[in-house]
Amino acid sequence: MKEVVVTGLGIVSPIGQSAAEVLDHLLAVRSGISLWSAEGFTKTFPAGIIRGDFNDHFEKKDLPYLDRITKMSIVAAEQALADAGLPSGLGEPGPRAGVFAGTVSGGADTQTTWLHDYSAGGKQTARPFTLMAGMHNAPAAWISIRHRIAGPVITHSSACASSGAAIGDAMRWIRAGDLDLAIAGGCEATLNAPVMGAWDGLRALARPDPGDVGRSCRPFSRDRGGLVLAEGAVFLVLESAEHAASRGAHAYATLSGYGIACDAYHVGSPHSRGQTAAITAALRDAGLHPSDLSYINAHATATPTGDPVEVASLRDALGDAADAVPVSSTKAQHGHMLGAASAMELAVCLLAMKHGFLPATAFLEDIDPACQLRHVPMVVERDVHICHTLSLSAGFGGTNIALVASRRID
Amino acid sequence: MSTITTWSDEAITAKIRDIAKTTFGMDLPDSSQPIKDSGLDSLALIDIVMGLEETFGCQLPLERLPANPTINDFVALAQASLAER
Repeated sequence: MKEVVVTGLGIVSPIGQSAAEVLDHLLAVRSGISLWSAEGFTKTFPAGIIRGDFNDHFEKKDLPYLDRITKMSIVAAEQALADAGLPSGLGEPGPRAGVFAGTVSGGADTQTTWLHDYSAGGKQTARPFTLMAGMHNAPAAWISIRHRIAGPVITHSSACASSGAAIGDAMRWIRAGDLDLAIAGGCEATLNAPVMGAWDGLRALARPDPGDVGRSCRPFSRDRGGLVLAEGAVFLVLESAEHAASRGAHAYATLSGYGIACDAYHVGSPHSRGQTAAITAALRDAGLHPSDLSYINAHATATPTGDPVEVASLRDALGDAADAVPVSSTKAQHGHMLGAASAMELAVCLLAMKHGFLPATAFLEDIDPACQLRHVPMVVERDVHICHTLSLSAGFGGTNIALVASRRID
Repeated sequence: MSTITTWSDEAITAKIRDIAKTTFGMDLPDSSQPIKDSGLDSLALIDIVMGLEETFGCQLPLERLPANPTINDFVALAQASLAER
């Protein structure tokens, strides 16, 4: 079984459009949440909004094909390749390379624009690019085309665990020796009125904090009011350790554990057994005991019901170590990036490991008694040596993913 | 009483070039050269046809175009379709 290492990070997120910017936000515990509004939509919501349209990264002739999600994905993937010291295009067409992307909704802006043109504008025929810009696998396809990646190009959609499944799948391909390299991660761009309205129908969205909209997402807090949706794209370069070594590449960490399990319970309500099983499987895969973990980035979206279920899962899976292993949810800062959530939070773990700090849960002034863990409230803890870190993601439908990254022994 | 607007070949050519420039940022080649030589693909050509259909208010049957059409081919198709209106 091949060792799999992470050699590149590419991040387009509400708390920065590079790993360096994200690191700055994490260390300062600075929120990237702002107020979302839309013409003709009476409600406003806090959201993790990324400013800009990314059009200047592309030729105008390609823009009709590119939904916002694809543009962000291409930018993040190119960042990741550059960070890994790999050339754009990867040289020759690569059957030994793959792309693995996660998304919940694909090209949602394209889909909703066409539906509006049909239902409100009476149009009978869409523009010819509509299907290909709106399909879920457009981001992965475009990354493969731009970098001539000719191996498996696969899109995962398992709600908020999508990018974790994509990364886990890529890891397995490389471990088995069937690939040398993969670009793996996830993406989401659904901050449009129809999608926000659909989420509002769940009564799961936080309202804007009246004093500071940036404080609207408060995981584990007694007064948490719901999740805050966000957009973004996060891709990692994964390689076999020998492939990375052959070209002298630096590795952030070894991707040492992957666990996936389903609640098999309810389509929209989590059950701790699935999360517990995913964590346990990832630790077993990594050959670790719970007490070996130095840091956990929790899924914790700040919904009233979801956070306590996750705490119960962590306690079940970690046992006595649950009172000792530091846990935080950085969604308080970047919001819930849906299809990009797992990848973003694994990236946070890798930055924490590289730079020696524990990311904080922002605004965690008053911990819910039902959410007692070894938290990192409000302020990062510095000068910390992280050996093993775990990121947990849980999706509607019941799919749960845990990923473990481990410090490399030089 | 309805009026039928007529379009000159030059006006249709200008409209095609304007759509290509506005939508794709492309300056199309000489009117007798295949449009795909500019780098536009077949879906872009369909988009140009849809733009012309909106402008003229009539369908332009794509199947009458040759495999690798020029601007002149588009103009001929548009004029034929306008005449059949």
